[in-house]
Amino acid sequence: MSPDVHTLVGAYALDALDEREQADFEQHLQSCTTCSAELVEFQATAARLGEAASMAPPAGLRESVLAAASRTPQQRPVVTVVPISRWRRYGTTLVAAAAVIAAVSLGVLYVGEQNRNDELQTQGPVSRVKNAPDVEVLASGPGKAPVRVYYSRSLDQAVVMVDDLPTIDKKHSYEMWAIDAEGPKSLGAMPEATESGTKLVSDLGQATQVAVTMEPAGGSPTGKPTGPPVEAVDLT
Amino acid sequence: MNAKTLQFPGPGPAEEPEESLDELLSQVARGDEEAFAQLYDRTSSAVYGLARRVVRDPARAEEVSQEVLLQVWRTASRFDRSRGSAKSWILTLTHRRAVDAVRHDQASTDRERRYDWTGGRDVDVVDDEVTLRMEHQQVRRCMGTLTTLQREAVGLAYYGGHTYAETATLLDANPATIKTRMRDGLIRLRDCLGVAS
Ligand SMILES: [Zn+2]
Repeated sequence: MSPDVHTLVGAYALDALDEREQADFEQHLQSCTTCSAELVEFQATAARLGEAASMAPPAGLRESVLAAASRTPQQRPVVTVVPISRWRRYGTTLVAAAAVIAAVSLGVLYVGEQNRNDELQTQGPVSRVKNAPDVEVLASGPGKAPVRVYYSRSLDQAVVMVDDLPTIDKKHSYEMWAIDAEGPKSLGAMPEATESGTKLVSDLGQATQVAVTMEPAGGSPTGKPTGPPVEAVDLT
Repeated sequence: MNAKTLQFPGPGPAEEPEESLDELLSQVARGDEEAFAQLYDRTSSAVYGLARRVVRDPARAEEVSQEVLLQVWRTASRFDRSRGSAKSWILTLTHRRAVDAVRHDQASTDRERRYDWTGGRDVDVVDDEVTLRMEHQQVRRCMGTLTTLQREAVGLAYYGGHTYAETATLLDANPATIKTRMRDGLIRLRDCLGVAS
């Protein structure tokens, strides 16, 4: 690594390294006590910037987090005792001691890393729908269809993902509709000149189709589609 | 008997000393759900606010917050207070995950943009806590002590979730310079905020 590798501690504390550099720097942290010490202070400093952005979370989050916790097992503490036989196998106690120290600092520094994979079961609303046991993935056509609906009937929720609809200008918006026996009901218009987006929908009810129309910027002025669907997804 | 008890001016009865967040976290590590609820009440605004600031989309920020808070619950036993405070640990986890979310979203679907179509889920910023206002002021004041380049580099990386290479492009500066400005900017902020080692 280049001689100015220590400089990277700032960017590392701000999570501003790419994956490769991050891995390299974590390697460096294991042997550099100066950077490790500086990192602790920088993380505390960055946390103050984080706190300054505080904002009340949505009301439902508390219940959902606490309920998830009560059914989620906790990780056991890391016990850093190395069995005697293993120490002998390494030859000298010094090597083993160094290994223990490395294991301890790894456990602390990379706590964000080591849990990334086994955290996937902790989900927010969008992934909860997408990973629901009864989720159906419905698309407006074969291949890489521009509109996909992840629909969980048990949750009565759907995630509508729109990707790369034909380009439109600033005078137009795409609008989504849920269509049931009584006709189309708006799921909201996307911002003008926007062709991609994601939305969580909680009230599909008896809808049999989700359709996209092109409307004046901001959505249909009449509350009903002003033209034929650009894309449509059958829910049945 | 009925004589009125004399009251001395001054502070009222001492309030129940609030448990430190570090202490709460070690109770959480022992599986204490009540402690976890308290910890939620004391950290969720910071977690959500930071996630919201970085990922911007309210639904995505909610997802990130839920993941982080669950991660705190699951891995509380791994917290080591010799390496910083509980608050610092939780916000470090939050930032890392928020940045991961932004970069993952960008990578997985090139032009996918996440937002709320109806704009109806937005929550008003409610921060009537005096301490929070003071925190804002102090952070703003200290950000003001940085050079323009330091401030922009730290802000784009921390609040914008940009890598230093992206930050350099945005600021039309040399990446090596930006790396350096991030570090010396943090040093100046650390000293101004009085972050103890
Ligand atoms: Zn170093």
